[in-house]
Amino acid sequence: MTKGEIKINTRAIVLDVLLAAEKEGRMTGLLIHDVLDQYAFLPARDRAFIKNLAEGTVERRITLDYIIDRYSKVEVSKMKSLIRCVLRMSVYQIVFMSSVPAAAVCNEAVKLVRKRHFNNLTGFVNGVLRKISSEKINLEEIEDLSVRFSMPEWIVKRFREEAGDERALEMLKSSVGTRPVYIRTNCARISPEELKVLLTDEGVSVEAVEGVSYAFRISGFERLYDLKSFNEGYFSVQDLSSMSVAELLKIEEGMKVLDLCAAPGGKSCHAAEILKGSGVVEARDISSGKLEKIEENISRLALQNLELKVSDASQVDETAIDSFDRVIADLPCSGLGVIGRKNDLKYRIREEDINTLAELQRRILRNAAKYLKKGGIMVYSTCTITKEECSEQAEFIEKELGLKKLEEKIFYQIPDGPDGFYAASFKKDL
Amino acid sequence: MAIREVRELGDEILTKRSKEVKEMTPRVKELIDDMIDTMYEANGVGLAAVQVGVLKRIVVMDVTGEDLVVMINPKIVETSGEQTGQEGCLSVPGKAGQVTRPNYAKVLYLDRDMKPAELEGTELLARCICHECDHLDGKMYVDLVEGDLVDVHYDEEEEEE
Repeated sequence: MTKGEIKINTRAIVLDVLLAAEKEGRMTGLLIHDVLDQYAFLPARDRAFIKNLAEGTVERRITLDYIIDRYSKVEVSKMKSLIRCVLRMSVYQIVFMSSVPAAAVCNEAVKLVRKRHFNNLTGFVNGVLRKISSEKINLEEIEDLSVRFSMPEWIVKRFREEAGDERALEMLKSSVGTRPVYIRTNCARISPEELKVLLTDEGVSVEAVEGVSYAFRISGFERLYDLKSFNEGYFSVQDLSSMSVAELLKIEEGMKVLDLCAAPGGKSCHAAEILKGSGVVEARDISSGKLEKIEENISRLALQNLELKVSDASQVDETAIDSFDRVIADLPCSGLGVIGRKNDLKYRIREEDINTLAELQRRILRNAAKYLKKGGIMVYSTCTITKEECSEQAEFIEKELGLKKLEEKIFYQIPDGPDGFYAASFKKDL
Repeated sequence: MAIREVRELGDEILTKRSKEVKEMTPRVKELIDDMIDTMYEANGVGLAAVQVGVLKRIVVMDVTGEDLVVMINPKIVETSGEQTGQEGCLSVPGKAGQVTRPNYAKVLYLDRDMKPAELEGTELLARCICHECDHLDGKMYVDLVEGDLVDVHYDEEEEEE
């Protein structure tokens, strides 16, 4: 037998995550999630280090590559994958993790390189890292916004075009670092005041949110699943911007609500909570795998009036025509509003995808309008900020589908506030 | 002193039952000495004879670095309690996994002079007694692991510093 307490090199674990992300092209978020599950037995401090280092290295990739390229003879893009990943994660520690001494970073990097049998490159890695650690790197001095905020140039350009320079800077700031966590009280089960007391008792800090009585901003907890109030179904995590969807719907008790692309189910559950057990919410999505996520939420929140159905929203369902009082069309989009929550999304999405997505959205919207009863209300929403997927779609709904726009809410992401989001409600008069 | 080759998971011998030792012979003595060297050399805390390819009921253990125990024909007669924690095995290099074991074990055995002896252990020692005695019956800890086996990156150099 070998000893129970094992010395585990957290940096080697992060390196493996980064290498797997390069090789397999899987989403880094999922890789990190898996690795934290696998190392669930590690102390919280080590787990937090793994998470912060892996997420941060991915999030700041453009910035890190720029810094490395300034001090290295070999360009980052021409390096061996292992050397590239070791340098990126090491420079991240030097520049962004002030608690780690630079000398330790260099030593650990050299050890990793040697252990992976690149002995001839230890001198190179050591040299580049020593040079970088002896410089004071001030990010604020980097004028190129794409480099400073590690954001692909076309997205920077988009932000400026859609929201103006001033707002764009806020949007860029909010794309790096941690995002606030908002929760929605399950008002069918508990009052916001009671929930606040419960959470405070569990050691969570709870802040009220202006204008939304049932929403709070929470911090100071490690894992949601450790909180009794969460497991009891007294609240859900949902961004403030997303909560506006069920608000705009103006749901009344006893209504039939359809959510076309429901997973992971936040808006469906919100609607079901507003119905307080009356009426029904039909939550649809394209695969049973996606619906599984909603199922977890249904049982946790103890919702009786939510039904699930596997259905492809881009295909017409004749049986649903003229049969719903309310329709939620929260559709697949480029996600430019939630870049701060999904660390490698910004590198994956391409500008040419936007038109394809807009076309898919129109296809689904045509169906969505059909399912609405006369006098019914539909909310169209996306977690993005492009005109093709927001204002132009609203025009399409009015002009081509003949619905009347009631209200519109546009959120631009800000560092200490909600994500970027678009939501508009429409009424079917005919 | 001789280091023997440690058999690894997948080697069929690890699934076989080891046989009782009937008498002490020079060959058995040499085997025991080699097992001790092999265990220490590999930074292990326990080793069963089958792991060096000999189907005899012999175990060597040292969980503290100062308490070497040689057990011949060991038999666990009592266990109690429960502990859940990480363990690894010299026959499954570079891996570890979470295993639930008794927190106390009492074992009867013959010592190097073939005299009856007994040993009680808790925590790591109890875990090691159970792990090694399983080897003698062809059982591996990987079948008991809760969740997945994880990769262990040993930080050998850190210890030299």
